[in-house]
Amino acid sequence: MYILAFLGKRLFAAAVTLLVTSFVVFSLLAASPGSPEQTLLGSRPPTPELIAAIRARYHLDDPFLSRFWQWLGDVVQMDFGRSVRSGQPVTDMLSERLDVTLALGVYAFLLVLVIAVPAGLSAGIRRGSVLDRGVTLTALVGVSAPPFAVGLLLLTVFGVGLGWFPVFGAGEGFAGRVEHLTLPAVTMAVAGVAIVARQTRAAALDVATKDFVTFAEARGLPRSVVLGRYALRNSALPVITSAGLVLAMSLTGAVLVESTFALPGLGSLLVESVSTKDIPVVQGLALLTAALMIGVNLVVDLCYLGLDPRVRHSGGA
Amino acid sequence: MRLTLVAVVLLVLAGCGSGPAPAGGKRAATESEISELTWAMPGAPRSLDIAHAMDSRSNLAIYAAFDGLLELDGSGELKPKLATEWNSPDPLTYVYTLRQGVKYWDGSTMTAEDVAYSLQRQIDPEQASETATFMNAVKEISVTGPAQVTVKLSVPDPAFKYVAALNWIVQPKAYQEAAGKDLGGPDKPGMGAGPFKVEKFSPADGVVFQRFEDYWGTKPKVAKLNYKPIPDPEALRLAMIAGEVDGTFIVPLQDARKWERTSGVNMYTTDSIGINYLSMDVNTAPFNDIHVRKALAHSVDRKGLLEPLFGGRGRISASPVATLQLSSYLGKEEAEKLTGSLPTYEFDMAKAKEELAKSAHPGGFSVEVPYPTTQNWTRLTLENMSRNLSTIGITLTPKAMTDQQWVAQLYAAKDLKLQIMRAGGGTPYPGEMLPLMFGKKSIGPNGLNTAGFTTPEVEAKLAAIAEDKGAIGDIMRINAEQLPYIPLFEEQLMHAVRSEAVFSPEPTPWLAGANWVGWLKATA
Repeated sequence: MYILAFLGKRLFAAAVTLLVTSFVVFSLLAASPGSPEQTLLGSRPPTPELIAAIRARYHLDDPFLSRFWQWLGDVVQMDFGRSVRSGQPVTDMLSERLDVTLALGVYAFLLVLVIAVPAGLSAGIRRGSVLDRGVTLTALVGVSAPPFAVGLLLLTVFGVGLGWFPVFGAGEGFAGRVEHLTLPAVTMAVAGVAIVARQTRAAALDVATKDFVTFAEARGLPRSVVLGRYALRNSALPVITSAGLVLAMSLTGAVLVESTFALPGLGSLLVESVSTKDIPVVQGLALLTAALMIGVNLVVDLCYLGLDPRVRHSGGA
Repeated sequence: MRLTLVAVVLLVLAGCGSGPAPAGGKRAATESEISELTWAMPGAPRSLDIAHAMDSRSNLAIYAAFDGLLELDGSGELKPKLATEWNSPDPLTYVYTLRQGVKYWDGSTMTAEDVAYSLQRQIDPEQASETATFMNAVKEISVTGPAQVTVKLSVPDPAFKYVAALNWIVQPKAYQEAAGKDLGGPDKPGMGAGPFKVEKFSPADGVVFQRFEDYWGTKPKVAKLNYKPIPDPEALRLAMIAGEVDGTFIVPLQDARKWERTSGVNMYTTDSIGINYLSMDVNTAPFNDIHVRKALAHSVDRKGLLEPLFGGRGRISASPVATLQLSSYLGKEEAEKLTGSLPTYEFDMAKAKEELAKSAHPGGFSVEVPYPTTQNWTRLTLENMSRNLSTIGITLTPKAMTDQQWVAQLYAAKDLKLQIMRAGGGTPYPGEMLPLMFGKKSIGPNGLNTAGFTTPEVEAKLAAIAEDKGAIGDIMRINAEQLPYIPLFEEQLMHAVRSEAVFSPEPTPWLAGANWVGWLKATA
């Protein structure tokens, strides 16, 4: 029952967030300089008739609020309009690219979890050891390395030099996808691993000094049980928060990685669409991104509830 | 830890060392088949409908697969394609005789109605066609025989004849009508009569083309063509080194030397019809003073900038008309004579100082110049000028803008002062940009006469441009004397192909409208 009320509240908040986001994005784009017909025609000089024709086709001359209202009305009926740039329905463009972005985001996220959590945990438990210093240093390098530079480095070494991985594109089929997305996922995971490993280490440091860990060790429990059952679970909250952030980031912020590896994902679409003032596409992307963010946050909060009885009993996050 | 880092660095160096340039140039072409070829561009086509895809990456995909009525040969002359003959009995009438028995990809036969409709659609305001800007003069398109289409113009337009090569892509009328707004998109990519069928099109992931075996003309050697987007220029070069991409058009010239040194890749260079220039608003101070304009013209080190900006792949420009266009109009010799007779302004800060002293602003002035961040050459040129001009008391401040901002301020035409830009038409006709850069009508918002320069003499020359062959030269001379525009450079175009294939014949400057895939042959 409590969970249902919690979900209901969250869904309502999500709807309000989406509405506000779309309105803000719409206003910002409307206020920014330039107009779509100028980008469509490039430096070629348009005739007044042609400008009028293009503006009429995309309803660019209607007042701002009526354009937003019209757009909103269509969205409620699941019609996101057509791209000014390519004339394609926005939903088609998004669904084609969402596929690549989701695969990449989830792949990178799995890499982060598999590498960062064990590394951070062991570093935190063995504070000051060589392993700890190694993890801290690597995390520092990872968090400072710009993704496009890491991407080009990996491309040069593993794509061109060793020829182990394909250099561009997203691949077909499951095996093709995994093969094509490995280098980009590693590139994206570098920063994520650094963040999550540091968080995990900090949380584990905190937990390692707790009495229950000392007691568990004193009872002579094996290391794996101490780490897995006591330290991991008790340091889980900050770790899940940062992991949630990293997942949201990898789903929405892969612009540079997508560009370096020529992946047709949402990030590159966003850049193209913003720079050409393709309002319907940007709006669709903003809604989708906001929805992904909200979804990830919701899952993180549900994890809190599941993992930590204290949160459950104090009446929610 | 340290060891791994060292190992990685070593590997990177190994990967980068691409060795010396291949000796002896390109390998010989053979007649053998190429079963699959991958061509990369910085982005996928926006659309495969010529009316809504006026950018080079979309255009080149369209020209690879679809046929138009005519095409341009290496010297910019029109050649038959879907039209076997054409003539212009008077400057307002163009008559096209159509090839008979031409099959579309679905097996149906091309009709004169299809041909007429394919152009008609592009001038329909309902379509908001981007190509309509080339067809302002068109009054009427009609079918005048079973294999004949006639176009009537309302005013003479010497550039109109190129529409048949560049924009008049033919598709069945029924297909175009049925596709409606979806024409050129993934579901209705088009139905052409050209050498390749569109097998799959995605504005995200590019195009897959299959050779059309019933093509009326010479069939290309390439059986399957992948047209892929790779936005990052360095990633594209790496993909070519790795052999995953076979070629690309228009590599960034600032990387020219790096490409040249890339082993296993051959480079092709052609001239282009773009002109890089400075524009000065002749109606506001300080640029209303001819001596200020001359001082600025003397302060650009064009020769010194050619190498860093374009890897030496360019030339110094003397007029707002591209050399390539002028040569195709007057002949090479005549064009050189004309250009050689124009006054020039060599890089000389002493002369710049002298001119400034004669002006109304002998102590100098300050000016802010906007430039688009995506065009690196504008920033470098302005920085060079800024340093040179600081020695004579002029403060020039380059101001970075996004493309959107930059185009918006240019077309808003407020407070234009000094602008740095590149303009280029799309046809071999040298007069195409002149009415836009010098015409009175083109001053103000959405106009390209950013200098606001107009005189009765120039207006008279522009009015006579279609009949009087000397008018273009006269306007070039007026510009060189009055300097509303300071011509800077003409960039070249550079294309790359892996050594498994060659261009035979070599690519011409007139890629637009050409079935360029047909030029690609396997090497021995």
